[in-house]
Amino acid sequence: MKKRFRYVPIISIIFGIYWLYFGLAEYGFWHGTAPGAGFFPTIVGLMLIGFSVWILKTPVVYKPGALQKRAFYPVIVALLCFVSIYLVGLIISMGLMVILWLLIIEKYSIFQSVITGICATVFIYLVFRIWLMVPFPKGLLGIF
Amino acid sequence: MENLQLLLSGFGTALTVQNLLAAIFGGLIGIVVGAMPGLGSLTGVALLLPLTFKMDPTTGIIMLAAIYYANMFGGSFSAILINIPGDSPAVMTALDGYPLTQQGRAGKALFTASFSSFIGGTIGIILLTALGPVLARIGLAFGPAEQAALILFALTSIGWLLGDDPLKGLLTTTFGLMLATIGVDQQLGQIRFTFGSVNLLSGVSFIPLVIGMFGFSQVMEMMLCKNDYDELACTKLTIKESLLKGSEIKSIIPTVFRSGFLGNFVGLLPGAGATTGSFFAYILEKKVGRERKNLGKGVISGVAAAEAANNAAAAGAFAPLLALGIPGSGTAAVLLGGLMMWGLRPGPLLFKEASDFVWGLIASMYIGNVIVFIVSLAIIPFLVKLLRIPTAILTPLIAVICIVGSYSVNNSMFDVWFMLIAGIIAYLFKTFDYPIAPLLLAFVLTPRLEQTFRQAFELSNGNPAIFFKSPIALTFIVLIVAFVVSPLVLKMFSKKKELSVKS
Repeated sequence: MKKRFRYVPIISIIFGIYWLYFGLAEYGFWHGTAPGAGFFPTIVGLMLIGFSVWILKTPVVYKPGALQKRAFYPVIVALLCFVSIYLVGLIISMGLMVILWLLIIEKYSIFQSVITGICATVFIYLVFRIWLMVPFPKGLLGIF
Repeated sequence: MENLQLLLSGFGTALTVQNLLAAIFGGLIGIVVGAMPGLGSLTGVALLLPLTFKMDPTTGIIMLAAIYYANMFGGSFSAILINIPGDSPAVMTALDGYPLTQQGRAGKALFTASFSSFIGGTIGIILLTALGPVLARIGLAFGPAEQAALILFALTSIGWLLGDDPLKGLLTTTFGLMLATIGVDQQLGQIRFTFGSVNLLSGVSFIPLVIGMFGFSQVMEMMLCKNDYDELACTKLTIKESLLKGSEIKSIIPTVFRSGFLGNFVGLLPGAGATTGSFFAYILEKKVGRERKNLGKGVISGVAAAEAANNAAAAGAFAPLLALGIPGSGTAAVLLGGLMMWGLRPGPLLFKEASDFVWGLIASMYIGNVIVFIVSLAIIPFLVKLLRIPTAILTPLIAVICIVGSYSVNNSMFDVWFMLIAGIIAYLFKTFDYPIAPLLLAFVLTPRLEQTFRQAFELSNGNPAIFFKSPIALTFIVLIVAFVVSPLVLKMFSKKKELSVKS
């Protein structure tokens, strides 16, 4: 079965038009004797459109199962984690993330998940908080 | 002679306790990351970049460089034991390495890989010592027009060389150019494509971009693969059984030297890198090697050719990086980004202005190469356990490092969001076979390209003939045209061939 995947070139064309418009109309293509701030964006816009159109002309073999739901689990986990960071802070959220990931997605035992989660949290705390002195957000609870 | 004196003073820098520890730590991590299937030097360097913030630039780059070349050692381990290369340069190693494992000679293959990597790496570093300053002197003759043409050539060749479809490489290169135009224009002060965000005024942050593109996208990919290498359960490896006999070492020496020199030459070319180096060395071995007829069936010279070449190429990639500011591979581009982050400007003047740094780094590579060789042998008995660490455990841990690492750059959640988006985009690119390393190279090189391009026009009062008057710039332009046009011509020929076959 053959099917054309058009996501990347079509998105590229949209970006290309945007870059081309702003390069030419807003930033200025030429400035005195040298290229202006819009010179490179214009070139980039033209290249994006050109290469994308060229790619669209070539058929792409459909890869069955190329995009799988499971690959996007980390994105969902990360988004939930961002919410958690605002509530309980970054360090605790990281620990929770590892524990829940192993428990729910990977079906590990509670013991294995908790031990791995605690180890990860301690590692982050020692390396980033103590050694690198990164001021992590503490969340609404204000701990760690 | 002058180089030797500078190298000796470099050893003074490299042999301080903190730099030595950085080389050892980088070497260890590089081997482990290299051995893990799916993780590569790019992911390793990208994830560890935030750890170097607190370090002195020399110490930081020594650690990152150690990760890079140690990765070449480690990449062969999984290629030999489970037929899955830890990193793309080890693809050719698997061709003979895995058959050797099937013959019950895994230990010999591992020792051959480490030994050849060590010799190949040493050849590469010696040539870097000799060629680096020469390249820098040549680079000093480059004006803005020549520099702009060189950068353009590097960008074009990288897009062409990486991936199966040069067109897709060129598109991702353009994406890199696009990202680099975001933020305040350095020379004219014009704000470009910030979408009203204060966070984008200084441009796209390099580390969250790299972590997202090479770390988080890797996490997404790893969700789809499980490692349960049951065949490894009964494999036991000892150092004693792995050692090669004198006659075996003698038989691979010509291969190692041949491949080392070839790999180093390939490593010097922008975009070619270690993968291409090992590929060419394997082809050469197939043409001239003593055991050419048995290559691919499990001979140690096949492993030796691929490993010597990829390590020599990895070392070779440092010459254009330090002397011309042109990275030879994706990992070298991250190193270049790291150097710029610390305020160093790789290029011809680096050898003069930051001589301590350059020679300290080169000296550390000699020391690191020995350390990594010893570690790679010592680790042999533990490799089976290392390779059996479940991907299921690694994925959440890498995801956590991606989030924490990108946050720690500017202590901002904006960077974490940016990392996540970059990761998703990179995953989509990878899924549809768009190479992402060219994007990174373009992103790193574009600010210099824009600057030199403008300077060239200012010098010539807006006359583009400046790019054609200089023989150096003209040569690069001819090469650029050849690189851009050749895929078109090749495609046309292949279409004609298809049509004639059909008719």
